Amino acid sequence: MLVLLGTVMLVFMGFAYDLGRLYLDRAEVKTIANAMALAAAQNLIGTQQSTENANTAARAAARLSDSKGNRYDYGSIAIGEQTLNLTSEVPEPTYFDNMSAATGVGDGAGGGQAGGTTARFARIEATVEAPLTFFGLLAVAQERKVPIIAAAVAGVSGPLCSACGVEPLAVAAVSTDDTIDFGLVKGTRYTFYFSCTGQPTPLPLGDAGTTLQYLLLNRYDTEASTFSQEDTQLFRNGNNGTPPNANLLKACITIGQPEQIWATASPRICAQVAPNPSVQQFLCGLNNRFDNALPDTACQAITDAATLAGGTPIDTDLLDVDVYSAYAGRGRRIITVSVVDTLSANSDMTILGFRQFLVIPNPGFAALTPSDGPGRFIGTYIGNPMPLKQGRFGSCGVTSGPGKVVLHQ
Amino acid sequence: MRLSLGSRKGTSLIEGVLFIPFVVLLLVGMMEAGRVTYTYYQLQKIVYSVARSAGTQQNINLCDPANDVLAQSIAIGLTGTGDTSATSIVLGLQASDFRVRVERYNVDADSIEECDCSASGCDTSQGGSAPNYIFVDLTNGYPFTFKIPGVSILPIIMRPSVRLPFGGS
Repeated sequence: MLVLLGTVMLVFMGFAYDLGRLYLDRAEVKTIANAMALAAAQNLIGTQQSTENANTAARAAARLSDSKGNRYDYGSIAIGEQTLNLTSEVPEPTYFDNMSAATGVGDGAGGGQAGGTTARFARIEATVEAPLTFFGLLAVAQERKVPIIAAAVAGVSGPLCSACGVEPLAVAAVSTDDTIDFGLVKGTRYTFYFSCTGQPTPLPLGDAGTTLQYLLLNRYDTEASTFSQEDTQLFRNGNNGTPPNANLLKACITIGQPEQIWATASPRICAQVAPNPSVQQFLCGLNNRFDNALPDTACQAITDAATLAGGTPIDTDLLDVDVYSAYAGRGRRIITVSVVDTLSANSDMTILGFRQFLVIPNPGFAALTPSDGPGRFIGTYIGNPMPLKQGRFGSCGVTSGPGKVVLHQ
Repeated sequence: MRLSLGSRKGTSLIEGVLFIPFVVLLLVGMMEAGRVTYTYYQLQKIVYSVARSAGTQQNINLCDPANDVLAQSIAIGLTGTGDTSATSIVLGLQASDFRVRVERYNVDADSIEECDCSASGCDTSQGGSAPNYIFVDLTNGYPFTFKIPGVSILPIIMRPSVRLPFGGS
């Protein structure tokens, strides 16, 4: 009797062990799927190349590096790694332009896949073989393994109310009635010039015939312990956007929030030939997205510029592309600009939203020309296709604007 | 030869006495096997939570182990709250056991590489740019000790790890 009881107990405990192990394996595979989906979705920026870049990023998230990475079965097997009995393959992401199609839930379920220019969501379905210890004693599981599937969907969120780590550039809405594009036209090349007064207004650059005045929003952190110099901060803001800061008012820009100009970057008369030093320092940083070398003596004179210049890789595509969809880079030279009600040097400006531009090399140059008197550069308006790295949601009431990558499933 | 009823009872008793320790050992062993799986599952979830939390914070300095925001992210995984003084979900696991490695994707080599904590690397406090990925594990692993009465087994070292992209939510 005891022998019979013990045997039955052994069988059930063995099955319980196998089930627990399968449950663990599925959780680990789900982690891998999450990592791949998040990595892929971060690269979906509305270009033809974006899905290929996303595939590369997803594979990198799954691969081991220095023997480190995501694994399953008690952290012993990397996905794609073959063992004596078990096999698995690194899954390729699939892309969709809406969440319902990606998750298979809701009205759009069953929708087709999207190409690079329209993809906003990445789906990963990872399948691995997990080992069976006790179930393998049964006739139905003689192979001593079972497939486990885990799926993840990541994609862009709804519009953010606060954008962090973005460029403190402000342009005025061409039309405040247009809540989608603020009167800007997608695909149009705009010549940005630093706001100035009087005549003549700066000429457009090359074929970028439409001009846009800009101002620098005040993100000078007088309490910074490192890089406390103003010129360094201007360069840094141009190079990488606003740096991380415990003070969110310095690190982020928020819709509805009143903003003032960067005090030393106040508009001057348009006829003045020499550039505003603060604007020039900002443009030196922006130029760093094309070239790690500092282009002129003014840029070289910025405190710690040489240290900062090599800190971030330049864009992988530096070409003057005719249409945004042909851009093959990963977003390094996409800037997120704050759209305000009215540009003003003397009173508060209210942030209406954020929109993105692809910065184009100045005509005749491989990069920008920070020494340009009016502080001009060219940006192609692209809407808001690139997810931001950091930002916050809120109740600001906007229905359009850049989001950030979130897990949807 | 026929055994009397009393003899059969005695035999069963002897069988039972011999068998019970094996059953108990089996039971305790299987419970320990379950505890191994459960503990590893918890550790995996904790490491994932730390990586996910750290990867989505705005003002985090991943290069400074003493950074408050990083400490809070570790506490979220370790205790389920942002309270660094709360008790760990897994017995004996401490914030100092975690290791965070910042990584950058090398386009030319098509590989992920460790990113220096410097101005030319991924230390944002020194002017570097944010990493592409973060990797979180336990520096020396987590020693799992078996609790089987009368049996001494060396602890096994559990080494859960997670790599996630930096940014997003």
